[in-house]
Amino acid sequence: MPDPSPLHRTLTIVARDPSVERDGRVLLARVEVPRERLAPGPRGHRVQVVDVDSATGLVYKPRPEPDGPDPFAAWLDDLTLDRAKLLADPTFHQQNVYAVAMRTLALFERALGRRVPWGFPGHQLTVAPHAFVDANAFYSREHQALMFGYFKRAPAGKPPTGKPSEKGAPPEHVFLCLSHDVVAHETTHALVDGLRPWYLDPSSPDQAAFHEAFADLVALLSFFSLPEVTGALLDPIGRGERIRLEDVTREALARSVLLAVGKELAEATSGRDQVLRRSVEIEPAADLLTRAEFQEPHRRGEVLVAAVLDAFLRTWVRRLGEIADQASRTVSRERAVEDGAAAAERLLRGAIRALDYAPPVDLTFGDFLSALLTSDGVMHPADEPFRALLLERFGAYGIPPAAAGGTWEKPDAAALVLDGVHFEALQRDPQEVFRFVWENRGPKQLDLEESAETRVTWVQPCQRLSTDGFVLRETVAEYVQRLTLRADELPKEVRPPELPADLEVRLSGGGTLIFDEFGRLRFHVHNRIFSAKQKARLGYLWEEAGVGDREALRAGLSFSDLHRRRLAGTTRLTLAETPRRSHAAQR
Amino acid sequence: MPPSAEPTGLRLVSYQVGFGDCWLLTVRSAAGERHLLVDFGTTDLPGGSPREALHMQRVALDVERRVQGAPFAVVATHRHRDHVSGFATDAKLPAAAPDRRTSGEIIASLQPRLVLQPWTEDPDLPPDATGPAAGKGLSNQAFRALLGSAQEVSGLAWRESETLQAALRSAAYHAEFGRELGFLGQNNLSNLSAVQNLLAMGKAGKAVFAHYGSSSGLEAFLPGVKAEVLGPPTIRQSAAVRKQRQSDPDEFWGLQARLHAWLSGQRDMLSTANVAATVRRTAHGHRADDGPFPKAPVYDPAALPPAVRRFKRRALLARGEQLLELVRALDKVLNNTSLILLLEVGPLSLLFPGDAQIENWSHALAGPDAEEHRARLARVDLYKVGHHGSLNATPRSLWALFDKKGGKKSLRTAVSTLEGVHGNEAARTEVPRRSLVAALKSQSTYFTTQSLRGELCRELEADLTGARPRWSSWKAGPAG
Repeated sequence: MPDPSPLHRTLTIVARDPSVERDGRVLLARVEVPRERLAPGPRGHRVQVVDVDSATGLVYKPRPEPDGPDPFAAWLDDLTLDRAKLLADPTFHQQNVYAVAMRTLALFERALGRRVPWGFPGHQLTVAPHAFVDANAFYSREHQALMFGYFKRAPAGKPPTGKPSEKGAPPEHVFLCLSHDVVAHETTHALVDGLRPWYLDPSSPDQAAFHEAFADLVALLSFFSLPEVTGALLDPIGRGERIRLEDVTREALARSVLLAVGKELAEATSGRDQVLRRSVEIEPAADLLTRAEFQEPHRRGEVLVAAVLDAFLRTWVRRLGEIADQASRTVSRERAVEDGAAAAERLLRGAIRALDYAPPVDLTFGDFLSALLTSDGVMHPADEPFRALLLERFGAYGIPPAAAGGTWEKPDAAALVLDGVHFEALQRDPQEVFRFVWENRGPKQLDLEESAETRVTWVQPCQRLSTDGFVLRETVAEYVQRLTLRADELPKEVRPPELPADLEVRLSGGGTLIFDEFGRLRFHVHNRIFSAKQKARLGYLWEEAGVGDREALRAGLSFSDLHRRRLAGTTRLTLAETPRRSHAAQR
Repeated sequence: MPPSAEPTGLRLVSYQVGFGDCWLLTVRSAAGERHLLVDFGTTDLPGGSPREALHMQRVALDVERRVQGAPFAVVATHRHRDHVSGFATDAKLPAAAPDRRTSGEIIASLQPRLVLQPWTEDPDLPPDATGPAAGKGLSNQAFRALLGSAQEVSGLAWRESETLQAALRSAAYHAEFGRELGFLGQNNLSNLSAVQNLLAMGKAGKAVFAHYGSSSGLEAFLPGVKAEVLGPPTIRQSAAVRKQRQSDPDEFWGLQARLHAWLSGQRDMLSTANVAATVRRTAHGHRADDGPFPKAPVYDPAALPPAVRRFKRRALLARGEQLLELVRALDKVLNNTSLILLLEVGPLSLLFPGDAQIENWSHALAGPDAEEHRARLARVDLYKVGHHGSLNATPRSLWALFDKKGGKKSLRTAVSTLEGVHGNEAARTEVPRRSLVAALKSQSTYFTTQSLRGELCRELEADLTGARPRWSSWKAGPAG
């Protein structure tokens, strides 16, 4: 099929994973990814697939001419083709991971309105679709790579328990690189690590949970933003041209979500789909995050996923109510599918943009909610009901916003010192931003700790496009502060009483500055070095530390650490992370 | 009237077993001496030691010499090699060995009246009478099967690592992953001979498979001694704790349950799928036909494009790193099956927690009787440091309880360990953990088997005849 767009290339992928079928066939989807001149791999300017298998020592060859139209397009259109053959072709797997990783990158770049770096000093993320035999997948900062495992479905000699394919026998292997959810999840780790490297630092239960939870919710929402998927979600509710409005409830959709989840990975990967399942099943309650079982980072993250998923389903139901034919109380199936995908995309973009409106260090779920509300308010000022719904649903799951009114407060423009600051340079020069920060360090302005080491880590102009075509120009800059003190030098309001007086602690703070297109400071989202939050952080880390482990509180924010980790570091986020905490909390 | 069984003194012998545990506790009374051997295993002996079979035989002969027909019992806290290898009866003895009996045979000849192990070792474990554990679908029996899988997978992972090492020919790989993988892989290998000997000794005498709160059988064996089992909890007990705890940093059995599904997959993949064999073949330059895509075109391994070659190396390294994580996780599962024993001998309180980590402690420290346990743990006089001094085996919440630590150092701590075997300092996972050792040294009277220089053992005595117990210092045992 010719691919007419000069900007995009359409590629065929597995919609969720090979166990999710519709009408007895593996559900495929077609996605758009940015067009580029590909080398065999496919290898593009941001993502390159190298098909090394550490278990067999083999390296599978890619297709020799990757730049042509989608070679697998026919499989989606021609229903007579046996899709089992497609799934047994490693070059299709190579295309699948390339397409999902690039689509996830494009989602981030579109939402943020700028290029997004990886969390390592290189431009190309290497993706190994069949890296090892294991029910696991991970992002490795150190290896600058995403690695996906595969495994045999059933032990030899035992009847396979998997779902039969079109030909009756289940495929022998399970490939994680064919799971949209897994690929999007790992790519998101790589992207968040590029945007907010400090989120891997030890800080709080929320921050320990955030990386995983955010990767989960991006994976889920990007999956739900595929019309093929929202279509499948509506199947159990009705397959006619029109759907009865009374049948489309939040509960009915939630049941569909669970049906749509593949069983293939659930058991083997110990929890990928369980995340979704458990998130759907979490009963909303205001005290969730204080309960014992939600102190463990993975479980805690599920609460954030639950709140977002719930908001998505309710938004969808609300939109259907708005577009329904009021006389017949029905809604066109086609519109319902489109609206579901649009609702997911709206929420997805908002969640990604929220990263730009969040503090660079010591993130809490409440910070994330305020960032989400604020960024949405800037982008869609008229849609107050959507934000009210978000606020209400997060609240139901015990996540109040960090900002008193929900959204971040605007800074006092009159108090800011702008003498000698040049807006043109402020958009791209960290020196200029630093001058602005330094001039405004006073308590009535940015309120920084003067004695700390302060560094502007990046500044980027952005051109954000809303889903309805509105263009927003902003400049985002980030600064971080650090200060090392003995516990007895800490102000009283920051020192947890249990810390030994001579214990050396490393404190971090920092902020995000958002300037509008005229160079005015629109928002300043920050965490002060001396704050109640800092006290909570120190108390948490000390509680978590081993006996006599005086280094635990020095393991936080460090520029040299970050540099070292980026060059030769050990950061790795895995898919299953079965018996361990996320890196953020691990010592 | 029979002589009083009231304890008049005790002796604790700490044997040099390198990275391992071997303790002989002797309780004296007017009626005579009774001996309790707590663990007997090693994975790595210090440099200059004789071969393992011979060294362990020497330890066993010393135990035999001390017991001399007196009542004798055995505790095996968990099935890791570094706690049970000495019980094996199939060790290959050199011709020059002073005795033809292996260490395990010598111990068996002492005819232990009691063999105490955790419930997870019970060969006749009945299916959980009231069904699987709450919400997790994992019964005690299934969990026991899981432990077998864990050991098997560890062995397979170790073998795969050896293959990676051969393919990479990299000293850095060995230093970072290979060494520890080899250590953990071996430590987790099933010790069939040792396990069978423990069962046989238990059958001949009395076998007790204990869990939190159950009877250890030790009180009958050591009259006048109060013995309490503080761990491991059963599946049901730990599920109950999980619901109650105010702050639980890590779920114990919940994680194990998740591991269960994961593991069964792992074992199938690595064993019956015969990947290890595949790897070996390809490492020797052969084409693997049983990979997932037997007919797909592949690059000639001798002529890989440079970019591919570069990344292939990274992929192999990453695999090693991943195997290490897997094996560490499995190691922890087995550590957490350790028996935790609190023995009160007269006025003295001795704590032997095996290699238990925080999750195993959960029921004792946060369960329904936590207050009572905490009060008793506060009085501990001697703490056998958990897991050879690792970061995770002395939970802060436990250490905080010990009232006798501090400036006067009336708390005694003892660790059996060997540096440079387990974990690494850069990741702050080295065993023994430097910061923990510093805390033990500054707040307790500390003993480590690393202070033994060529000696077979050291011993500590306590005299209980006076108004207050009097401790000796750690005295030299017979020359090694």
